[in-house]
Amino acid sequence: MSDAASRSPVSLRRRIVTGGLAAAGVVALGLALAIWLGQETRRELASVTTAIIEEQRISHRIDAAVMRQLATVTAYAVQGDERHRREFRAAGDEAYEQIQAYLFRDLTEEERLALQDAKERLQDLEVAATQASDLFARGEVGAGNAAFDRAVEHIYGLLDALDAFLRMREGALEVLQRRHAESFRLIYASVAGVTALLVAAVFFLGWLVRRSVMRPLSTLTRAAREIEAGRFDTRIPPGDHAEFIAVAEAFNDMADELSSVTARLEGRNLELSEALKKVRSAQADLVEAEKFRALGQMSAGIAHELNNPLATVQGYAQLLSAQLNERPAPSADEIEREYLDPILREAARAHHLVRSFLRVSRRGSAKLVPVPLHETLQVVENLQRFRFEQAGLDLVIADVPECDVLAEPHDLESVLLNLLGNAYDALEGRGGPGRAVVRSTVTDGKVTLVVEDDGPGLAQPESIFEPFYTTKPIGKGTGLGLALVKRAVTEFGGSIRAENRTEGGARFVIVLPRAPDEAATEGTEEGGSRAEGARPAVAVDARGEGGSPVILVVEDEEDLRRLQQRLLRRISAEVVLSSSVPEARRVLSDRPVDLVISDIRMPGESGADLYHWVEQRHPGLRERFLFVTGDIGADSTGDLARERPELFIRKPFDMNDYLLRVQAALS
Amino acid sequence: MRRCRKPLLPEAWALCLLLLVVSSTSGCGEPGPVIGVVAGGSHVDAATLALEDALRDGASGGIDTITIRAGTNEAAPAVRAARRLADAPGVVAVVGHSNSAASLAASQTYNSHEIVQIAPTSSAVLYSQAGPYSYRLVPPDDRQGVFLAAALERELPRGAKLAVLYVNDEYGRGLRAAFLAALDRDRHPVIADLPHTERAEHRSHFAHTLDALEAEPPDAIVWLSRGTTLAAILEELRADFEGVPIFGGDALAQNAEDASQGDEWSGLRYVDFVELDSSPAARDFRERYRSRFGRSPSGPDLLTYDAMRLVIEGIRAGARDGPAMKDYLDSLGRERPAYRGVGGPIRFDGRGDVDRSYVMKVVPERANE
Repeated sequence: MSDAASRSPVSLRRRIVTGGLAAAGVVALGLALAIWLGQETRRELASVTTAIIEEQRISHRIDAAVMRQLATVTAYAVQGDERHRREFRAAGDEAYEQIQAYLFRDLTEEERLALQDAKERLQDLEVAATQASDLFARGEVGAGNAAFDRAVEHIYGLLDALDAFLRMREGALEVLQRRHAESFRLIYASVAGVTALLVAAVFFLGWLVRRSVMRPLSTLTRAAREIEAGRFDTRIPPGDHAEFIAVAEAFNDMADELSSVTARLEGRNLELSEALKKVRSAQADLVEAEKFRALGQMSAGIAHELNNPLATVQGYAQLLSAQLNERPAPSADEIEREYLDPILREAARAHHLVRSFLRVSRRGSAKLVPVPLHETLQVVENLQRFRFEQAGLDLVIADVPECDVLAEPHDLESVLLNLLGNAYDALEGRGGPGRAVVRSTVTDGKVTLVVEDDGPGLAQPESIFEPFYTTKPIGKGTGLGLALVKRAVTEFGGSIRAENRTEGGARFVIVLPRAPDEAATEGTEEGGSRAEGARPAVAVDARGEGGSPVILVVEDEEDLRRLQQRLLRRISAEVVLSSSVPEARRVLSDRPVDLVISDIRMPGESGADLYHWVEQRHPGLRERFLFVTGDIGADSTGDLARERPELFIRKPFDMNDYLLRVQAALS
Repeated sequence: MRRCRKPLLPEAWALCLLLLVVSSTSGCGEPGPVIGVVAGGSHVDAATLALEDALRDGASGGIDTITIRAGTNEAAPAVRAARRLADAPGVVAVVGHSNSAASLAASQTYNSHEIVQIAPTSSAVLYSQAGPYSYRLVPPDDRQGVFLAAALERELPRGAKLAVLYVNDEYGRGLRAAFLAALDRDRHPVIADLPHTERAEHRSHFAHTLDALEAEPPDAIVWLSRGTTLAAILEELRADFEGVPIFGGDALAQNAEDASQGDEWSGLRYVDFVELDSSPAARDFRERYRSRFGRSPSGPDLLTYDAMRLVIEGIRAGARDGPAMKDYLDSLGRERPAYRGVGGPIRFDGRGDVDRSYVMKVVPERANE
C-alpha cells in the first residue's frame, strides 16, 4: 500500500471549517484588538480631554483667584479694612482650593513638587499680606512696607511657580498628545493588519477551494464528459479529501456498472436485432400469406367467372363450326346474331374480369391520383359477387356517386376487397342469409364509404385495427388485413373507424378526400379503357399515298399471328409475320418496315428486348412500335408501360381498338 | 497507547534546569509583605512597639518594614518619601505621614501605586477625597472645629475676645474654617485672625504675631497649628499674656503630652482623640510604651500603634498587596468584625474615615509631676 493510500484521508469540510475558523479567529482577534485599542484610545482620549478641560478650568480658577488676590492685596495690605480682608481671603481660599484639587490629579513628582511650591507661595503670600495689613493698621509703615514687599515677592514667586507648573502640565499634555498620536497610528496599523489578514484569509480560502474543490470538480466534470461520450473505461483519481474520495469511489463504481450494463445491453441489442429480423421476416411471410389468401379467394371467383364466358365462347364456336358444316349453312346475319354476338359478349366479359384481376394483383405506385369511385366499386363487385352468391349472401353496391377520390387505385381496391372479405367471412361463418352493403356519400371535399353487414358484429372495435388482431380461426386470417387497411386509408389522407351497428352487425366508415373535378375528367392511366364505351368505325382502307404499309407482327402464338394478320389486312397492310425476336431482327435487317407490333412474353428474347434493339438500330421505328400483351403489369416491360402507355395494346383486344391504335401509330 | 521512547534532548534538559533555577531563585527572592512607616520619632517608636507586640503575639515573622523618619509637614520630603516607598518592592501599606499636609502631599503617589496609606492623625478635611487607598484613624477637622468651638463657649465667659492663630496649610485652614463657622462670634468676638507658616525661615514672623496681639490683647488664644510651632512661641505668649488661656487642636497632643516640655505647657487645653486612661488596654499600652522607650506615649502614638497593628493584622489575614489590604480594611465592620484597637474599635466609612469621639484635655501642672 502506498503512503498516500495508507494515510488517513482528511475531511474537506473539517479542513475548510478549521481554516475558516482559524481565519475568522485571526480576523476576530485582530478586530478585537483594533476595537480594544480604539476603545482604550477613545476612553483615554475622553479622559485626557476631560482632564485637560478640567485642568484648564482649575488653571483658570487659580489664575482668576490669584489675580483677584493681586488686585486686592494692595488695598488689603494698606487699608486693612474688613471688606478687602474678606475679598483677599475669599480669593485665597479659592486659589488654595483649586491648587488642592490639582494635587489629587495624576501628576508627576516634579509637577507635584512644583504645585506644592505654588501652594506654599500662596500660603506665604497670605501670611505676608496679612502682616502688612496689620502693620499698616498699627501705623508701622516701615515694617508694613517690608511685609508688603515680601507679599509682592511671594506674588511673583507664586506666579512663577504656577507658570512652571503649568508649563510642566503642558509638556505632559504634549507627551500625552504624542502618545495618542502613536495610539492612533497603532490603530491604523492594526486596521491595516486586520485588512491584510482578511485579504490573506480570502486568498487562502480561495486557494484552498481551488485546490480542494474546483480541481477535483473539474476532474469529475471531464470524467463525466468522457462517460457521456461512451468511454466507460474512464476513472478518476481518489483525491486528498474524504468527500472527494467518496465521490471518486462512487463515480468509479458507477463507471464500472455502466461498463457492465453497456456490455449486457449491447449483447441484448444484438439479440433483439436478430429477433427483429426474424419478426420482420415472419411479418413479411404473414403479409405474403395474407396476399396469397386474398389471391386464392379471388382466384376462385376468377376461375368461375372466366369459366362461364369461356364455356359460352367454346360452346358457340363449336356450335358455329358444326352449323357451317351442315346444310343449309346459316346466313351471315344469323351467324353474327346467333353465334358471334354471344361469343363477343362473353369474350368481353372475360376480358373485363381479367383486367380487374390484374389491377388488383398489380403492385401500386404509391402515388395518389384521382380514382373514379364507381370503377373501383365495379371491380370489387366483379371479384366478390360470385363468392357471396355461392354462399347465399347478398352483396349490395348502392348509391355510387360519379366522383373521384384521391387514392392509390389498387390499394383502394384492396381496402374494399378486404372489408368485403371480412364481411363475407363473418356472414358465411354464421350460416343462413346475410347481407353486405357498400354505400357512399359525398360531402364538401370528402367522400364517405360505408361497408356494413348484418353479421355478429365486432368483438372489440377499438382493437380491430391493431396488427395481428383476429377473431378468425387459426389458418383463416393473419391479423394483418385491417391493419393494412388502416395504413392505406391513412396514407390516402383519410380515416377509418369500426363500430357495431345498433341493429346488429359491423360497420366500417371510410372517409376519403375527394379529388378535384378536373382531375376526375382525366381518366385512368390506361387511356384505352375509354375506348370501350364508344366504338368509332375504323376505316377499312388504311392504305396511304405511298402504297400499303409494311407491318411486322412478332408473336409466338400462331393463332394470334394469323388473327393479327387478318385484322391488319383489313386496313390493306402488308403483314410480315415473325414468331420470335431473332427472326424479327432478321426481317428488320432485310427490308424496310413501317410498324412493328410485338408480343412481350415470348420464348427466348422478349418484345422489350426487341424494342431496345430497334431503338439502337432503327431509331425511326421507335415511335412506330406497339406491344400486344396480356401481362401489362409484368416486370418485363419495366418502366416502359408507365412512361409510354400509348405503345401498349392489351390482350384480349377489341378489333376496332386494335386497328385504331395501329392507324394512330402509322399516322 | 504508543509511548515515546525517544530520550529527552540535551536542550530540553537544559531548559528544565533553567526553569528550576529561575523558579527557585524567584521564590527565594520574592519580597515578603513590607510595611512602610513614615513618621516622627515617637510615632516610629509606637510602630516599632506594634511590630514587636505582633511578633510576640504570634504574627508571621516574614513581615518587613521600611521606616522613614519624617516629622515635617513640608510637601517635598513627604513626596520623596512616598516615591521611595512606592518604588520599593513588596510594600503593602504605609503608616504615615505625621500630619495632614504631608499625608495629603504623599497620598497621590500611594494611590497611583495602589499602596494603602493609613494616616493615624491626619485630620484635614481634604484627606477624605485623597483616594480609595487613603485611610486615617481620626475624623475630619470639620467635626473637630465644632467640638472645639463648643468647648470654648463652655469654658469662656460671654464676650471673651479670641485671637485665632493658625498655620496657613491644609490643617490650619481647614480647622480654622470649621471652628469659625461653628463659633458664635457675637458671644466670642475674634479680634485677631492671624496665619503663619511653620517653615523655619519664617519663624521671625512670630514677633509680628506677638506685636499684633499686644496691640489688642485677647481673652483667649486659639492655636490651630502644631505643637512644635507653639513650642517656639509659647514661652513668649505666656510671658506677654499671663493668664490668658490657650486652646489648641489635636496637633498639640504630641507636644502637650511630652513631659519633657517646659512648664509653659501647663494648663494648655487641647483636643485629642483618645484617652490613655480610658481602658485597660490603653493603660497597658501606655505602660509597655513607657517601659520600652522610657517616656509616656501620646494619643497620636497610640493611634500609630493601632494603625501598625491593623496593617499587620491585615497581612495575617492574607493581604499580600495593596488591593488585598484595601479589601481587608473595607471589610472591617462589614464582612468581618471591626478591628479592636487600643484606642477603640476601628471600622472605616466609604471615604476611609473612622468615627471617633473627641476629648478636651488639659496639660497638667508640670510642677506636680
